[in-house]
Amino acid sequence: MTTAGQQIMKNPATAAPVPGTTSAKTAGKTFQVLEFLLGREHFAIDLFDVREVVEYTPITQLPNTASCIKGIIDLRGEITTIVDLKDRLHIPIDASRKDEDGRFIVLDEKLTGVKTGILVDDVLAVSTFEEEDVDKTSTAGAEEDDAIVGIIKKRSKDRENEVSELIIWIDIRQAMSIMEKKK
Amino acid sequence: MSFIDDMKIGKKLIGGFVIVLLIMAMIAAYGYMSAQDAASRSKVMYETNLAAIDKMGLVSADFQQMRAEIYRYIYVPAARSAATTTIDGLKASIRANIDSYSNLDLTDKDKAALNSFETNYATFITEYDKTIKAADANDMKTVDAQLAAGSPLITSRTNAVAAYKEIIKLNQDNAAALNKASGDAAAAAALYMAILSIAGILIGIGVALYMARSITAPIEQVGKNLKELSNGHLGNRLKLSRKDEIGEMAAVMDQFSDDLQNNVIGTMKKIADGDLSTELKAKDIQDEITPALMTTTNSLRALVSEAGMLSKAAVAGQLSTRGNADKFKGGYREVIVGINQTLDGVVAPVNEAMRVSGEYAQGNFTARVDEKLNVQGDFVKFKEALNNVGIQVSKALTIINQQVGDLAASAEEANASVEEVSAGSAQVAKNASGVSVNAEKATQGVEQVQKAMEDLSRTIQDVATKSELVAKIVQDTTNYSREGMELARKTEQGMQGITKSSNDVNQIILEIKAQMDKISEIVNLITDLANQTNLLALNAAIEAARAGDAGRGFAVVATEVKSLAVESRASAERISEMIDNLQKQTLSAVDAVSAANTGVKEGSAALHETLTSFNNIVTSIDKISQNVSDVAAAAEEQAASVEEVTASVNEVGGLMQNTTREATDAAAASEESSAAIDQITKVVANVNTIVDKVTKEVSRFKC
Repeated sequence: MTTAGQQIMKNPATAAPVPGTTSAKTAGKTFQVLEFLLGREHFAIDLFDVREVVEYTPITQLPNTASCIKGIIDLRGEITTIVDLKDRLHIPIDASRKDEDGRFIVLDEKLTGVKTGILVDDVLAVSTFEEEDVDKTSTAGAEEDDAIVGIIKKRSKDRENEVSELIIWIDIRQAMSIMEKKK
Repeated sequence: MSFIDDMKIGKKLIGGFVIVLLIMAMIAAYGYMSAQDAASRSKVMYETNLAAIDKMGLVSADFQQMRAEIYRYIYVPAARSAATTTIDGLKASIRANIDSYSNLDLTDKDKAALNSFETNYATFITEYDKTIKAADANDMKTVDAQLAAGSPLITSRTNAVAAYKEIIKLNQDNAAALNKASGDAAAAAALYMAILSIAGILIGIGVALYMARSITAPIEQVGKNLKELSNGHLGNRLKLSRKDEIGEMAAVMDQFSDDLQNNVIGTMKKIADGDLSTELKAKDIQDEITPALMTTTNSLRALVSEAGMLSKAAVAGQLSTRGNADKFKGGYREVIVGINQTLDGVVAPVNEAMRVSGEYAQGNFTARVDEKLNVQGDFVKFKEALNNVGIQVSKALTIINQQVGDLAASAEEANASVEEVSAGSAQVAKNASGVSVNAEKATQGVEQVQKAMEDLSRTIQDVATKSELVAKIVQDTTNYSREGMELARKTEQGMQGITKSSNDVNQIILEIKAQMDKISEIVNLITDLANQTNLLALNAAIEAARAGDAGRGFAVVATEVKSLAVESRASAERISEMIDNLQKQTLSAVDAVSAANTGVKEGSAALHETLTSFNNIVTSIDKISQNVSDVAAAAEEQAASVEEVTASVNEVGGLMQNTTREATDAAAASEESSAAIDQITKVVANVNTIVDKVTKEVSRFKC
């Protein structure tokens, strides 16, 4: 399982720049992710890609940009581009949910070169998982440019029944690169 | 002290003087004793002390001379024999004086001093002789030794001198003590004498005063009693129980008073009361009071018997009897003569009056009292009265004759008038019966009218009764309406209370709502804070993770903070939910209260309508009541009118009956008048008969 996991891990690693894999490796058998909510589903991204989480502030829309570019904000004096991840990942937008209830996850500058944040519905937690909790095979139906790394099975005890919650682990670097290509 | 009162006055005086003399003797005796006491002291002083001092003075002189003689003897050998003689004489003199002193009445101290002197004197003489012998032997050494200070001779001499000086001093002291005792005794004697003298004087004055009282007081009493007697007050008695001269005098005086009061004055009182039966005897030949009293009694007795005889004769009609004036003297004689003259003055007029009265008795009223008869005083009136009887009776008889004639004529006239009256009254009786018949018919008509009126009255009465019933019912209805109104008013008050309460509830609920809104705000704040905390915790976790192993501990803290933030948010959400529920319930409560208010308002409106309806009812009932009262009043007026009519008809009936009765009475009266007229006719006939008789009788008197 371990070898298989590592091999699978190599695929995105080759496609993506080094630091993410490096961090995964340094974690050994464990890795840390930031869990967040998009629509009704739980997603997770590598913790080392994250700079910080900030509250929603009004967004200034930019003309003549991709639909997934939400606009810009002034984050402590720095212009930060906000990407709507739901739009990017083609997740249907729930009309009842307002943008104002959401959060911005500000990404590490090393990823994109410009200061970028993603708009998510809610940020849930910083979690640590083991390698064996990740299922990378079940993403077979996805398209080529899919940024999904794998599915993390989060076990939690609910009235003595072991319930496993599925968290979609995405490679934010991939997602952002696609965005850059389109640009 | 009554024994003093019983003593004779002489004895009393002597006794008083004796008492005073005794007291004086006691004072004198005491004075004498004191003088004797003083004299004895003086004697002691003189005999003992003065003599002793005298003797000792001689001793002293001799002793001093002896003291000088020895020097003469020693240093003037030529005068030795003379000195020896002088010394022997001195020794003898001293011895004699000492002996005579020792024979005096000496005290122990005196004796002790004398012994001391004797002892020292003996030593002195011995040494003296020794010195003389030494001088004779020309042993000048011994002589000088003897004459030197501290030698037995000088010592014994000094002691002897001290001893007789002591004796003199003792005697002087004794004399001073005696002198002091004498002075004290004299002062005491003076004090006792003064006290005794004052006591004696006081007792003497007391005795004198008592004596004087014992003698003068009863004498004053006697004098007072004599004064009373002279004023005719015989009731007082002295009644002194004493047996001295004054007592005897008082007893005699009391006896005299008794005699005067009981015998003399008693008898005089009896005479004054007309009791002449008292017989008294003279006490002795010299008694003047009793014989004088008896003479008075006898004269009065004779006078009384003469007057009694005359009065008995007068009562028996023996007017010729006269009293014997020669038997009496003075005033008594004048009494009897006066009585005789009185009888003479009365008898003549009485005889003449008897004659005239006899004439009058025979019907001869022309008789008069003889003018020749000499009458005086009351008899003049008597005579005129008698004559007047004759004159007045004659005059009356003349008038009677005339009147009787007139009466006879009047009787005739009366007879004719009576007959006319009789005819008139028969006509009246006939008319009266006609009136009576008509009146009875009228009465029947009136009775029918009365019956009709009674029927009408009953009908009106019914109307009045029914009106009253209606009025009562109306009254009840009014009361019920009023009660209804009252209830409605109370209900309205209740409604108002409810409205007020529900307004209060509304107010309270609104306040609660405001509080809840505030709580909601706070909860929102908490939620917000929890969210921010959550965010901070996340960022902290991220930073911790990026820090690698170093941030591991911090990561744990961040996780904890995050979980707390989550819990806070959950709690805040729950509170928010609860408050939402509460607010919903509050709103429904507000709705309920406003619904209740609406209900109350509707109820209130309905009550107002009810009240108005009740008011209308009351107004209507009042109107009905008014109308019924009007009907009742009208009925009463009708009843009154009917009563008036009935009364009038009754009056007419009464008048009719009166008419009938009066008509009947008139008929009866007419009949009675007829009877009376018959009687009058009879009376007139009687009068005629009487007039005839009177005329006949009167003609018998001469006038």
